[in-house]
Parts: sequence; C-alpha cells; structure tokens
Amino acid sequence: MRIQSVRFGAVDVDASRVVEFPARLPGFPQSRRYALLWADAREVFWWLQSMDEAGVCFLVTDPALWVPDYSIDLRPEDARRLELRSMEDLAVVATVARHGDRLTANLRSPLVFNAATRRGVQLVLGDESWSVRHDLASVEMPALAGIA
Amino acid sequence: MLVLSRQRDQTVMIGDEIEITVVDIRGDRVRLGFKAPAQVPVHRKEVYESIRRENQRAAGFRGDVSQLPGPGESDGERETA
Repeated sequence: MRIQSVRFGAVDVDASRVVEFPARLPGFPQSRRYALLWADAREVFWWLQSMDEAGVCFLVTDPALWVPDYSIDLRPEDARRLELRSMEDLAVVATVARHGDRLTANLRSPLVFNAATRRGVQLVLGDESWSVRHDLASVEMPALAGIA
Repeated sequence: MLVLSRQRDQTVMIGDEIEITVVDIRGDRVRLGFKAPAQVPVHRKEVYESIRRENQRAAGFRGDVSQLPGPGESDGERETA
C-alpha cells in the first residue's frame, strides 16, 4: 500500500511492516497505524512513520543493541492488550530523540508490539531505573552540521 | 470539574466500563484502584506528561541518520568515515 510522509513523500509499504497501536501514543491521538521503515544500512535505526498523519515520524532503535542488560517486565494486562501468545513474538523498540548534543532513547516507555498480529502498545514501565531520556551517545558537531 | 465525596471502598463509575475505587486513605495520601478496558490506558498524570513530551521531542527528530553514532561508538571513539 502507498502512504504519505512529510519526510519521505509517497512510500510503498508492505502490509507486513504495518503496526497498529489501538490505544495510540501519548501526544498523538490521531495516529493509530504506523509503518516501520529501515532508516540506515547498519540496521540500528528505523523510522516509525504514522500512516494517519504524514508529519508524524519517530526514529526508533532496539534498546538491546545499546543497553545489553535492558529488560522489561511485561505485565499480564499488557500481554493481553498485545494479544500475545508467545514471548517469541514480542518486539521492543525505543524512540530516539536529540537533546543538545546528546542522543537519547526513551527506555521508560518503550514501544512493544506483537510481531505475529502487529498490534502495538507504548508501555509505561514501573521500573524507575529506566529514564525517558536514557543517554545513548554524543552527537558530534559534524553530524549536527548536516541537520536542517 | 465534577467533585464527588467518597469513602474508603466506595467506587465511582465513568461510563459503563471504567471504575475508580478508593482503596485506602492515610493522611494526605489516597490509594485508588482502576478497572478499565484494555484500550484505555491509565497513567499517573506526571508520568503521562513526561512521555507525551518525550514523544513530541522524538517525533521532531531532524537529521541524517547515517551520521548518527551506533552502539559502542561512544564519545571520542567514533571513527569518521
């Protein structure tokens, strides 16, 4: 199917790349369906492009690539919301943001989805040891120079 | 805002499916229990606000992703191509 993106223009997306968030993401009540698009050749980052609002696009990453001991405690009600039958179907990504010259990820409220049904939820972890602005790396000035 | 008085173990209904029960009251602290359908998330407002803010920050990400450091490419160790 073809979707519209402010960032990428018209993009053809396979139905297998579409994730539905029935409860939406806080701050984005109009966006229910998102398409997961590769962002870089290293397979570290993806774009999560809203299919309902062309201007809404999140950069996301797999937290385990950055924080080997990252884990989430999935509550039974969250597993139900995801209609999760097997933990093998659970996929976890975190949104990425830039604060000054720091690259951060929201590890307190990861986006989790059921790869089998492609139904997703933004969790809020009870574990306060994970921050909404977990520091990943510094973004050096040459990288910032390319930022519009 | 609608304001109701409730005692311990008493409940308020919001619509047909959402129940809020006063579980315990101690001093200036009240413990509430929530029953809501799975598609209705329940959050402490300050936590919800911090997530909303961070989501909006993340949705405004600008830049060339190929220029971003990857895992293990920590400060000062990053190789420049």
